[in-house]
Amino acid sequence: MDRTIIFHQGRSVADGPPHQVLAGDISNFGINHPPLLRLFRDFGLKTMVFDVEKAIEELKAQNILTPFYHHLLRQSSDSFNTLTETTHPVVELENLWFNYDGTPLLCGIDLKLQRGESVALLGRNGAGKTTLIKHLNGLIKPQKGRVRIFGSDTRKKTVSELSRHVSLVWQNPNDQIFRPTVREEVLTGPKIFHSYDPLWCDGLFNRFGLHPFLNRSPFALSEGQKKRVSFAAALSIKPDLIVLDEPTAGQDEPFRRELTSYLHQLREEGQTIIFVTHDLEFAAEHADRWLILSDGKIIADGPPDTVMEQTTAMSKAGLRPTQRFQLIQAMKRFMEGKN
Amino acid sequence: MTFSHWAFLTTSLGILIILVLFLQLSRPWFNFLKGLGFAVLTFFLIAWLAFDLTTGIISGLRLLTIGVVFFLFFQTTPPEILSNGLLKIGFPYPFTFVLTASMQFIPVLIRRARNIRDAQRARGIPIEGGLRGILHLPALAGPLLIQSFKFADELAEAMEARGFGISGRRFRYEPHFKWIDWIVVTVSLIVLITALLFKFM
Repeated sequence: MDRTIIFHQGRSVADGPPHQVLAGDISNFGINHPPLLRLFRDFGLKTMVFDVEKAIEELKAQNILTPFYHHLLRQSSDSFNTLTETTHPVVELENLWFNYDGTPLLCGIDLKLQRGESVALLGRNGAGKTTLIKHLNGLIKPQKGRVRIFGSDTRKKTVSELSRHVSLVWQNPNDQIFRPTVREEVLTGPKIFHSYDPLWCDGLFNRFGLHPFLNRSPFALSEGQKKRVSFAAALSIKPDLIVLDEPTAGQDEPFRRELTSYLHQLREEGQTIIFVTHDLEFAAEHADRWLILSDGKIIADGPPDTVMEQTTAMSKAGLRPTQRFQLIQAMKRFMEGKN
Repeated sequence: MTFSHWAFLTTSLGILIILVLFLQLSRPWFNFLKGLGFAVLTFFLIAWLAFDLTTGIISGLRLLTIGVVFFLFFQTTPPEILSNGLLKIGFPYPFTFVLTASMQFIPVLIRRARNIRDAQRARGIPIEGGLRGILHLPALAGPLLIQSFKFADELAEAMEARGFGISGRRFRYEPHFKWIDWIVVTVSLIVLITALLFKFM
């Protein structure tokens, strides 16, 4: 890339070579700095780096490679929960098989998710991710095997019964919007389930900045605002399990930040979250556990750093480790070589 | 009179079923029948209750036959061939385009309708068959209508961006009558004339 142009509110606000444009304060325009640059800024470094090799060179030149390495490791150990296996998992998949028109989409999946886990489901398009999450609220019933949600077999429950506990936020908010006002759209779920909690819903309106739009038609909102509405609608029933399908796809940095802070809060409250994503930076930030799905099978399962070390599984799913992980590995190699 | 109806309908349906089997379309045909079955049954019941059982059966069979004819036509004729054929016999391009685009985008809309149904069911809205489903129809129809309008706008923009409307023919494919087309046209004409003779003689 030779030139970067940033548009904001209908006019060009920055125009020039990428290193020059990205050096400025671009967060006001809804854009985040590249991951390596963010790591450097967090550590108080002003140098412009975009690739791992340059970052290593810079750290060596400033003689701060070791403190930086320990800073990154400390960050990783701070962010993840370690959950012990309990006898009552939230989600339990037992030898789950699903075929569509003779094509196997899920091939004998075994999986247990514990309360409070935040799980990222990764994989190429067509790997079976959406089919898997549709099993969680009974939209798809297992053809073979068993799916238990909070101990109940999904085959014995209706979608309505399951959706009281499992909320799914879809990638396209336009698939669900149909009420004349934003307020009615968000409160559809609580009305169906007779679970309206004014305090909780008001908190959601605040959290997603919906107060100015409550009496407006949701159809008239921007795509980002519609996404906020769909999140608030999904959370309005106080679900026990939240499933997010591509939550960051097509969203700008302010929404990402809001989502980040909300997911963080939900995780602290012990909420179980599963999200499908192609955004590894987001997955590394929010998931305690990564699952890679390929050809209908789970080919990697573990904490993000452990999964990123499994190069065969990563390349089979077409995934590249995050820049933070690449940097840590490069620093480790350098320090090992030095010793 | 009634006998000729029976003979004509059963013969036509028999020929059509043989064609379906010959063209190895039995699987999509069964799927199609699942959808058409409800309409045929309703038609049969209305005619039976309004007139008599024979009229009911004949009416049902008639609708089934018409349905199978359309099924065979759309299964064996890709939209672009239909469009090119219509152009060749003098229909204006915008007309043929609208016809074929509508045919091509039916599966897209069906897919969207399924996504919407799943999204609403996941919120606890029971969009299913029966009276309860009808009560919640706005939850399906609203998003589908809005998405269809938006889709039409986007399609129009994409078409304009790709030069739709520039004059002059720019198709590689030039349709020609082959021997098989002559045979089909001749056989169809013979069947039509025979049917008319049965009806009026």
